[in-house]
Amino acid sequence: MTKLEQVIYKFRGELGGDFISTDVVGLDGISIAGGSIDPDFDANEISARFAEVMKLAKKISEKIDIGDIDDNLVTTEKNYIITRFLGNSSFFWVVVTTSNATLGTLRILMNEYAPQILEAIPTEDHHSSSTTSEVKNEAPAVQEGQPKEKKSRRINFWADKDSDKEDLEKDAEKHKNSYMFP
Amino acid sequence: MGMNGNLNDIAVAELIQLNCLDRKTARLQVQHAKDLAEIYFKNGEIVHALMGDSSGEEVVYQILSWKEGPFSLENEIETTESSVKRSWSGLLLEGARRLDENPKTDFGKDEPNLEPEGNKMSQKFDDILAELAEEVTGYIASALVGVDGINLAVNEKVKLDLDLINSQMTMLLKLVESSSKKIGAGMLEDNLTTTEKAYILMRFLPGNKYFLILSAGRKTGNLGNMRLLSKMYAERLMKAMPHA
Repeated sequence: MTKLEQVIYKFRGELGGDFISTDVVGLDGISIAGGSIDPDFDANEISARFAEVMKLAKKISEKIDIGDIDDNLVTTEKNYIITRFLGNSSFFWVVVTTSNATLGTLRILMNEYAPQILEAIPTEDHHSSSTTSEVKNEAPAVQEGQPKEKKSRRINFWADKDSDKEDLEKDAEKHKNSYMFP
Repeated sequence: MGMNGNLNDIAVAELIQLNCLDRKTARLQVQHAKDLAEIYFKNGEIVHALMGDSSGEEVVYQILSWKEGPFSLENEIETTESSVKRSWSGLLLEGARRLDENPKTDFGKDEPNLEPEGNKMSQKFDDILAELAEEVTGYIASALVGVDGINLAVNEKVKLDLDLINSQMTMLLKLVESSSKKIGAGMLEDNLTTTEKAYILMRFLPGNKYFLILSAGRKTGNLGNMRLLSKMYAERLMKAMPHA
């Protein structure tokens, strides 16, 4: 398990039963880690759509001079969706919970885990997900000979609960102090 | 420098819109029968309106109904008076609404009643936002905005370009709404953007044709207070809406 996965597992465990989905996403809308426990939630779609939301929010904040965007919280009848920029805003972190979640706790946990998540973002994935022109001029993120798919691979924790159940149970045992699957 | 003409050729609303979009400082004088009215613009906003002994927004609404009479626009004429607070777009919207409700109204001949009535919709919105301003910790500004991005009513503690801000935030709210629907999250209730300087909360009124936008300082604001009050006041604003 990568360092980023470990941090996300820990976070998910602390959040508890209201957790639905989380992803660490580049501004290209591609998730580099995360997943959902709810089969109705397509984390890939959330990543792509809320990348657009965050990009628009960032553009607006510059235009109307309200300072840098820290986060955006969406409240719907079913869910809370918090999206939060990480570091220099090359990535953002999205968390989806049920509408029963305690917002104050959620925000505090995200404050606490955001630096850990930023630190855990792999450098190769950082370059492959970045959209800056500087990165395009550097050496390619994928080494010669490696399959291209590896460049944008998203690590799914819970996307397919049935087929990964055995692996998940093993992981759960390893991290049983952090979380329990429902 | 300026221009002269007659309201037969161009409507008052168009004259107002042209001056405001060009961000002009000017004075518009309009004559209709025996009445002479003046509207003062400063940097694209209406700051003062005067007709006889009366002044303020009601003068603007009166003039909007005039369809004939000479007008004169002079640039760079300023005033120290400040009888109009509402944004130009809000004034035009409210004026259009009044004309829709009373299409035969022509206040040019009779003595106009320029005293605001307590139960007029625009006054109600202003009053509600003024009350909201008193209750929100760290209050900066609030507005009632249509999904077309045009302000119906605004209230600000400091001078802001609320036309620009609210039109931009409308785009964000609409994107959030469509994204939430697409991912199956259900109906959007509100969107809270936290920046270095401020909290900006947007909440739809029932029906999703209008929304309340509320801003408080990042260091002085209280999120719980904002969310609770936005819910209460959105309901009050909805009740103040005219029924179709």
